[in-house]
Amino acid sequence: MSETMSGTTAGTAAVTATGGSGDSGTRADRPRALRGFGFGTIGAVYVWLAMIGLFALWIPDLWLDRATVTTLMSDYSVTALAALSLVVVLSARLFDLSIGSTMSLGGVVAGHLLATTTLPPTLCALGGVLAGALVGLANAVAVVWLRLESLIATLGTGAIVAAMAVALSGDKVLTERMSGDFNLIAIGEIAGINVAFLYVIALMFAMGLVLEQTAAGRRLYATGYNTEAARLMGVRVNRVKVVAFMVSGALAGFAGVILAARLQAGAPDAGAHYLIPAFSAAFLGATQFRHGRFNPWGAVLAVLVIGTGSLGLSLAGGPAWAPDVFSGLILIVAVAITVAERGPRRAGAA
Amino acid sequence: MSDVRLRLSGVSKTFPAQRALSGVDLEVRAGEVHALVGENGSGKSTLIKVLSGFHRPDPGSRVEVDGVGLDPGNPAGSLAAGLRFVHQDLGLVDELGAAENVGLTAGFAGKLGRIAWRAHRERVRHLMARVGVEVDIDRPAGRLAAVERSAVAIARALDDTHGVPKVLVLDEPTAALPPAEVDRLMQVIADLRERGVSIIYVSHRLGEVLGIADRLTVLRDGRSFGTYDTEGMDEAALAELIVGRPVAEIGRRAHLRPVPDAASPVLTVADLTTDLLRRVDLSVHEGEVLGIAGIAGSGREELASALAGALPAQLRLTMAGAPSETAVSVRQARGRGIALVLPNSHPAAAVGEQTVAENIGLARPAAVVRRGWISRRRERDVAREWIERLDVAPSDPDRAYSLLSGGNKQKVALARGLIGAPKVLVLDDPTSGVDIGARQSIYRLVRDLAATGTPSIVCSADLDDLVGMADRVLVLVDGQVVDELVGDAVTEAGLLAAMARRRSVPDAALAQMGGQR
Repeated sequence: MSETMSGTTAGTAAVTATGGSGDSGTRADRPRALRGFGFGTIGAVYVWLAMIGLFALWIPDLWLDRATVTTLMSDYSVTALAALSLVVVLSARLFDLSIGSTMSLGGVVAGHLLATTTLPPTLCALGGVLAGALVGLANAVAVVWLRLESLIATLGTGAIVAAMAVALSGDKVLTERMSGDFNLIAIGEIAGINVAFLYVIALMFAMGLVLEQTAAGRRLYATGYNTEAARLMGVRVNRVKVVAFMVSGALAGFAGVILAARLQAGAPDAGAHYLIPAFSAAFLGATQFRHGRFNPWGAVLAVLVIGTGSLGLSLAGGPAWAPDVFSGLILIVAVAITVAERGPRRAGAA
Repeated sequence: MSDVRLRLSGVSKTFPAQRALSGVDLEVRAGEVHALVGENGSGKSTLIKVLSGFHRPDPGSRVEVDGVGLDPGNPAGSLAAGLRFVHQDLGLVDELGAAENVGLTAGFAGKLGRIAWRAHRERVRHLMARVGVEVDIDRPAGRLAAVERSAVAIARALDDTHGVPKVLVLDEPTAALPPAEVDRLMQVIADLRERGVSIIYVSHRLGEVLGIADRLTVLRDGRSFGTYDTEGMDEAALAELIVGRPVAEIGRRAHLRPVPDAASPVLTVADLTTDLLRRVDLSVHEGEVLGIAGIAGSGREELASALAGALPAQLRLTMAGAPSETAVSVRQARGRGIALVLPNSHPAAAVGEQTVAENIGLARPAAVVRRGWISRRRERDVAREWIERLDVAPSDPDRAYSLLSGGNKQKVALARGLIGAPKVLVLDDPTSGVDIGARQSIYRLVRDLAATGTPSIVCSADLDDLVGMADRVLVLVDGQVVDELVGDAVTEAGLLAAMARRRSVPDAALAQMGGQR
């Protein structure tokens, strides 16, 4: 690096201290516009494109088909909704291990309402979402008022919620009134695009706006990074946590409803399968776009990566367990990248 | 006498985006205390990390101990060559006693993995005796007095399991020490020098440097600016060497206000009681800077947070033109216009992972929100205004707060306090880890604020802060106000005398209280 560069950066403190010699102290990085396309920022996009290319060469007949795109969009919309639900709580540095159970409960509650009442399907779906929000409230009670670690608290609530889903369904798969209108909530199409996928896109934009462009979003991130500092700046951190848990729970309930609607079945264990992919996506997503910050864009991109890999592996005749191995690996690699990114920065900062 | 123990020649270190050290030369003699001084960012930390092997310096850098070159950038090599380090945070495990803390780094005596506790404890006692501070080696480090913790860390560094210790590097060893314990540490250092240990002493505190060091080397912008004998040097001369230009003397200012009109306080607090404070009364008036002095454990460290609602406290708080309250939450205090600025080293001073702009914006969302949405441009513009006003470097609103140096962090923390146009600014240790240049601008800022009428309350362990800023100082001992110094009576000597007064509890108990904080 040039001598002038060292003058601006190495001597920054000296410059301030001596009263600032008009040195702007700009970043030595590339221009802001270019930085957005670096591997460090959107590496997953390149990985995703590479996978698409790989499968296109490996299994061209099966892969290069409209059905692949449709399957990807509809199958992984549920995973994406679950991942977006996690983005909310993880931004506040809270873990929610109960989302799998909450999804199951959401589907079962909707199924139960369909079977036992004459309410229209949309209201039954709303019931599932509300059930999720209540689970979120229970999580908040355990974490905010009883002061449990969120990891432990949600492990506990998750077990209870899973049991409630089994109890409510009578340990059966609920299918009554699930075809028809309720089914359309998940598989309908607008302009030829699957509605579940549209929910994901709409939610991604909405969450992105709230997290990045409102004071509420700033408070959420600040609470997650440094609760005490946020509190001292007048942020009502407990309220932030309660809202985060409830929004996250409602979204998990919604994901469960969409899952049940798509499968035309409310199964008491349906959500459990989504826990790990959702965490993988949320963590991988945090390495994208915003450098370590949980964000909806990254989470959705990460679901596409996980979905493409899993779908490709199964289309290529891989064993049934291959997708699970894939999402487990993604989780570990994603967190490793985050840690590696932070490491040298710390050293540089010292 | 003048044998060179440690010689650095042409040591450079280049990071991807910056050159932190360029051709630093340094000679430390056997049995001398050699101070390393310079502003934040001058390269002191990097130099220490090169010595400890944490950073590998650029090719061509030479480090010799007793004439033998060592492979820099290799921690084991540094250790074997006899270079030892006591970092500012000491690196002790608070839950463990000295015996185990020493064992964790130096290894435990014993065979086949089984610890021979008797032999090990004997060794640790021997080490503590070398340092010359008596400590219960089983008492958890977190419950020792600050100076005892330092002694344990020094003892650990002096362990000779991995080679004879030759050079001991002390990085800001007094930063966490109450004034009363600094002298004990200085005695420890002087004793070690007598035993032939060379000491590199890194500190921002000029008085200490001149008091303990035989010679000193000044670093400026990553270069060694020169090595000087401390004999005959005064603080002003040293400050000028460090900053590179004449520095207005730190001390009393001529323009202090007369004793304010006691009839119209902006803020009055009565019966303030916390864990450490006992029924403290105070008031601060328009245009006044009120200082709060006290050793660790006196309650001085709780007063700022208690006033701002950050710490549970009982009090009667009255602000001009408002009814009094018996307790305040953070939000109530902020609503009343009490702004708390924590020391930059405090974990809750700001959100490290967020940018400067986000941190400033969070302190006053109304300044950056337009119709419910945060305007990124507005947020950056507001941050730039403050960056310019407080002279923060680098002047990049998008930089993560955690990447700033201590002085610049402190300025951002101040901006967070000032942006809400507070009625009273409450500062807690505003210059810890802050270099002399930034320190002066903080003093000026607080004085200027007072000149516009807004009073400040400055709680500080650093007497320079009080002498440099305060019109009036309340001195706390054992949680109570024992003295009030006004105007010209606010001197370092006067403060020290008042702080040491009326110890109703034995020293040991006082020291213990200090250790718990």
